[in-house]
Amino acid sequence: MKEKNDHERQLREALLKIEGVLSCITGKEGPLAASPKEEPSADEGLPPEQLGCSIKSVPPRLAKLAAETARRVNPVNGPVLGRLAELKAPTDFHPQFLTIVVSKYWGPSPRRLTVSFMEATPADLRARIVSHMNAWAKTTCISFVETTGVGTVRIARGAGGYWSYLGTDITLIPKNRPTMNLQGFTMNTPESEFRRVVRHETGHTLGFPHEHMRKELVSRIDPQKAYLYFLKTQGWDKATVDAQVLTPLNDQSIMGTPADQTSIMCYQLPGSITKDGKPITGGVDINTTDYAFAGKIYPKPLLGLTPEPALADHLELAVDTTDWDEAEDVPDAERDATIEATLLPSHGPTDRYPELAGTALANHA
Amino acid sequence: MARLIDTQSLPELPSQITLSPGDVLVLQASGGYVQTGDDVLEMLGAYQPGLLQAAGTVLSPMGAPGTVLLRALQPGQATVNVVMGDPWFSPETHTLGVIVEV
Repeated sequence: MKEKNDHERQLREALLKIEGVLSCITGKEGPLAASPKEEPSADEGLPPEQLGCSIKSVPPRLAKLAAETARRVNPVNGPVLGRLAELKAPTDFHPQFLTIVVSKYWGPSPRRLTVSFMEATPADLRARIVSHMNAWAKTTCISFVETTGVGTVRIARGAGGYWSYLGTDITLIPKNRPTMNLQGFTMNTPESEFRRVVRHETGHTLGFPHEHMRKELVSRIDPQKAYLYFLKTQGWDKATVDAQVLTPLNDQSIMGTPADQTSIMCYQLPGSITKDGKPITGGVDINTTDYAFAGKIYPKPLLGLTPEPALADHLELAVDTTDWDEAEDVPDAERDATIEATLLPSHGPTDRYPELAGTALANHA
Repeated sequence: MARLIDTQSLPELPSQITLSPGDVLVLQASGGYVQTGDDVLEMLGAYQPGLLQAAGTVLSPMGAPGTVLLRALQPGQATVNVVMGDPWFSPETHTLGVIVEV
């Protein structure tokens, strides 16, 4: 009986918290809050405008640590490709600034991106390309659908190699220009190339940069060997080799899993340019880590619940950066323990992806 | 007057091209290098596409270079290796003969 009462009390507390968040957005009080309270609220007596949702920010001296912590909890919270540096006043931001302004990720809400083709393309080829793009939808909430109009993703098959703009950058490209290029793809192209190239370029569209530019992999490359190799095979000058191969992604832009040379986002590099003589094997298809990580940052809705895409738009972003004494800062170990304690055992990666049980993946998520 | 010569209209490159001094040849390729006659033909570089944004910044896609520029310097003959396809996986090299004449 006592257990049942405890359970009901916990359930009521949880519902009250949810209702509190909703009332912040809608401005309406819910039925639970209207019922008698067991304890007086600390907010009682304040005027209504001071009861709204305001977001408290950590003191500026802890902003970097807060960002690092947020990124550890969820990689989406990390800024991408250092665009923060382009802004004039990088310290003048509210807590949601990094993910809203800087990130090229599409966000956690389910999305369907339309796809069109720049050249006349046979229907079977169009369907085949889109089906490979949708391989990512196996674990993510992002899917692709062909449109007869102008798509958000616009694919060309002309000269120029394989490339794609990164994540939400595709929305910045003029509608008469492609966002992705798949040079020479036809129905005669081997299936393995559809897996390797179309899925790789679609990964860029989802916001994933090149895995071979992770510093762990870049550090394996001997720069002098690389300069010579690409000069001989491609005619690339030093600056091009630096940009394509030797410049590691900024720590602030990486995706959260350990560097993975079999990721679909990793190119193949020969052993002749590495320090240990072993090649960087490169990925030929989306691997289990890719699938799991993509599913983590673009989560499929669970239990029929759909994240509210416009939630952030409704929040009043009043920022309070009141500082406290530095001696009161939470020690690292305590902070780690707190983060660990928030994990629900029933929502581990192997629960969502049972086929991954027993793999190293559990350490990544 | 020097010309900017586009090759996109051709499905395949011819084996030989005739240019005038000062001409710039635009090839859709990931790389290339002058094999013989570097006093006749100069490789300006391999370039990624880029789009100018209203804010004055340039946006480029993720991917290898897709355009190679070559400039004719003076009359003579040169051969150039043009690298096409995926530079990471299965690059294909085509040899192109170039005659530069006034």
